[in-house]
Amino acid sequence: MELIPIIGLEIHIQMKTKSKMFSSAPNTYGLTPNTMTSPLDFAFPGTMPTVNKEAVIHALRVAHALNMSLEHELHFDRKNYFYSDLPKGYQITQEERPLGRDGYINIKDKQIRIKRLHIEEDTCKQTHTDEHSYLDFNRAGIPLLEIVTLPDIRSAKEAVAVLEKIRSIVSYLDVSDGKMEEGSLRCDVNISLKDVNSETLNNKVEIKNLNSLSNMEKAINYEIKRQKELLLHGEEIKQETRRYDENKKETTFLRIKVDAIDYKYFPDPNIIPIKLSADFINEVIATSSELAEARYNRYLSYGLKEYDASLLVMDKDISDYYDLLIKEGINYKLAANWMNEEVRSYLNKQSIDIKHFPLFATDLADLLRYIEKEEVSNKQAREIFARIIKEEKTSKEIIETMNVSLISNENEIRKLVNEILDSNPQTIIDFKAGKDRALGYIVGEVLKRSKGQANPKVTTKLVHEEIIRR
Amino acid sequence: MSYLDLSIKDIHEAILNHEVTPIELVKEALERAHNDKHNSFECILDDEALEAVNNLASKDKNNIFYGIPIVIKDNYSTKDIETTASSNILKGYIPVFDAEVVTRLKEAGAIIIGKTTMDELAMGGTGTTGHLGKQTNPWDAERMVGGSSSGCASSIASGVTPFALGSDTGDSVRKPASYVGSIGFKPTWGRISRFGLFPFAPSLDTVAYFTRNVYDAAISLNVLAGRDNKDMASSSKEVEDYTSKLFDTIKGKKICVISGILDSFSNEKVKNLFLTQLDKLKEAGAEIIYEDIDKNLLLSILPTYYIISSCEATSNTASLDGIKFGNRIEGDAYEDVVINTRTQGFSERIKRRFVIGSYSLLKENREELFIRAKKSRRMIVDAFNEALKKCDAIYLPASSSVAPYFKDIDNVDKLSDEYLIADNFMAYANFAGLPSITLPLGFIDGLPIGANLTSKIFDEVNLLSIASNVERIIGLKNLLAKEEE
Repeated sequence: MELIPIIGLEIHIQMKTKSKMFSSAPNTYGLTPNTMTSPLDFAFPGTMPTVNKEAVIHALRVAHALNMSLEHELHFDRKNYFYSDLPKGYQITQEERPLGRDGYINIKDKQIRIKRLHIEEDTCKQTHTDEHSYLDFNRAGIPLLEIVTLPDIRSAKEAVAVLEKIRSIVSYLDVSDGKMEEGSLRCDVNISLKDVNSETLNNKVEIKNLNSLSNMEKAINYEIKRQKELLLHGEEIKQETRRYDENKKETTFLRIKVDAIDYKYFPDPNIIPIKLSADFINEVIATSSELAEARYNRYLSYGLKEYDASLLVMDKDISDYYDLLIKEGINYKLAANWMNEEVRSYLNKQSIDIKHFPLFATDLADLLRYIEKEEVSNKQAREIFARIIKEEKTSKEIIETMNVSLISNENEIRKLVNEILDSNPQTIIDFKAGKDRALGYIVGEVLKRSKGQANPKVTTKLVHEEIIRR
Repeated sequence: MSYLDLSIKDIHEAILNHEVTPIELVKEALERAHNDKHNSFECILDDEALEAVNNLASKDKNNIFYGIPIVIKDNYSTKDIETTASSNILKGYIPVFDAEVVTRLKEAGAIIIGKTTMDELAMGGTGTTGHLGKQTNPWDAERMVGGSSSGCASSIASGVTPFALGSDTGDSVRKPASYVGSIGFKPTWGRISRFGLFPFAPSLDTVAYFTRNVYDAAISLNVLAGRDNKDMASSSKEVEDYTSKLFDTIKGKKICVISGILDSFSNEKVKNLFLTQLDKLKEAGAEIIYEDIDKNLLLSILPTYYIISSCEATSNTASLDGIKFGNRIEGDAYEDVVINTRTQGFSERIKRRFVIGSYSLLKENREELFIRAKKSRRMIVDAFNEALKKCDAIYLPASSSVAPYFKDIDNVDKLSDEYLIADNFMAYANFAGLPSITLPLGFIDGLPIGANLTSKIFDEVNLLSIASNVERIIGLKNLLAKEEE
């Protein structure tokens, strides 16, 4: 019996908006509980929902990026159930007419179909202690996007790639931070196994509480293994919800999944259907920001290597920063090298993201311009880079204190070149014999002797002149 | 004579002429409220009312509501004033905001002297189901006043104030108005913001009110109508001067009687009174036409209303779980808190509606009940709109009889045409969102009974013009029940 995993994802994304989905309270994260609320968030009688246009624009852009067909009229339904984190006793969602249907995304060469995308609202955040449960209404009503894939995914790696792609889309469209750790991106995974020779699926298991991509990958792999073992032992898979236990590195039983609860959906009578005109939709799509793929292609057109370009677009904020350097007129490759090497390694060392990087793009551009003008070497620039961060000074101020302007005086360098050539006769012979490497060796020695202060370009030119002369 | 017995318009003029002051009016209204024998009040707001009079300096004297004492049904959110909608489950709930209509009335200078009792959460038509008990009819205390805006009706009939803010989901203002001889007016759905009105069935709920005459109803709409961004359903359509055509003639206006509805009235006295008055309209130059609507549709108005309103109601009241506000009954887990609070907080009649609503929305019943009710609603709306295309207004008696005795409440054949049609047809105006007004038709055995005029949506100017003519022709307005001391 050969078993293959059949995997589908249900993704919830908190959207970045000024106010909540249906109330005027601010949409925030991490502030003092119950300070960012309005009467509607507590479901006080007589409060009424108003639809957040910004959230609708976000949702339209994501649906378009996922190649979905768009609903041209906004409809909202009530999903009725009682739960302590649900203030109104119902959640406003889009059951009957989701904003987006029947889309797809490509991961490498494979297409994953997206079943539906709709707008809904978040619930209260609950915190439990031994004796009490606490409710934070700051989260109640934050706009959510729900995206549901079809079960086209066949491995943990593919699942991760799908989620990464969707995260990239929402982050490039400035729709969401997409942070799994903070809950602004949540993903439930449905897994069942199927015998390749059979049409019927075994029971489906849902995994919840996945707070990172790596945990998601581990959880799926664990779950596939668990289900395979059960089936190979002739046991049945129970239809249930499990959670991933980070410490034990396994999925554990959470609850039995009974036949779906009847949510008694009906259209919300307080929200009049809103027509989305073709002009409005076209405008929203036309003004949406460039996605990672488009940026990647743009970077290739700058002459960047595929690896460098893909590294840059992996994080939208890094890519944004790079674009600012380009806007400052910095050479494409130089800027890319610095972003992917110096800046990235600084961020890693400090474990911060680029938003907390202390240098403005204009500061870094100032420094890179010295390199372009060949007034400092790469090596010197790295030192200056460290110091402008540490000492909070400009590149110019540091360079003045370092007294490191490059030696461009040809006579001075020529003297050094001749000294090095004199003590390396074999290199000259090698060069004449056609070994180009010999030239580089001499240049390196000259730079070393000058303690990195000789202008490399001038040095190369002079080494060439002198070596031919011998 | 007391100035408080006059219409809003006349009191307003008396204030402007310094014949009476707001403080005198408010003190008298408060006194009448305290002397009320009909259980009309959830609370009487002595301190708040007197303070509001003191703050009148900042208001516009020329506003029709300046210094006018009013009462408000207890299902409107009033900041800092306990609001329970006459339900135990909301005991102790003190809102943090004013309903939009309350804000507009306050800004206009109206003085709220009390909040009135009602059928629990506005779900009922008898004025007997609120947590403080039944409201009695000032014309005869053995009789009901109707509901759900029962305290509004009893207080306006006994003359406490010239304006009572109610709400109308099926006929909750227009039916009680018939039983007490006042005006009961429900404008087009969306004409007045419902922000702050406790929802019963939002697709039907309408801000509505009682006045003593048609002019007051019209000029009140000038103050209350208009777009409010807090209620998505409120219309941006321009607010008109609703008094502008009150004195135009009725000559040539087409008044339509739906014969299938009139036929369902079995009380000959009611029918004869209606037909006599109808002749007078004809004499005055109105053109009377008869239209009919499929009886099956007429019979389905009430069941359709029950299904739709109960479905919406069960969801709207789900927020009343004792966790965030209201009369929380403790329990071991949150489920127990919710169950205990709701079990003890709602009366049996209300729970019955929730069961009907939940049952109708269940997957297996949805198509047969909820969706079918929606289709039925659409058909009823189409039929009445079709009739309205041929006329200026539909005119019919507003109740099948004068106010019934309490002892007869359960003495009704609920499958009779009279119950299913004559007593409950007015919900068609809620189905279609039509403006609809009840005004006095006459007296039977010394008790008032009203008739109802309904027109096309946003046709208030025309509707009120016809109503004003009918009021003049019949000659009944500013009726107050004379109470025996």
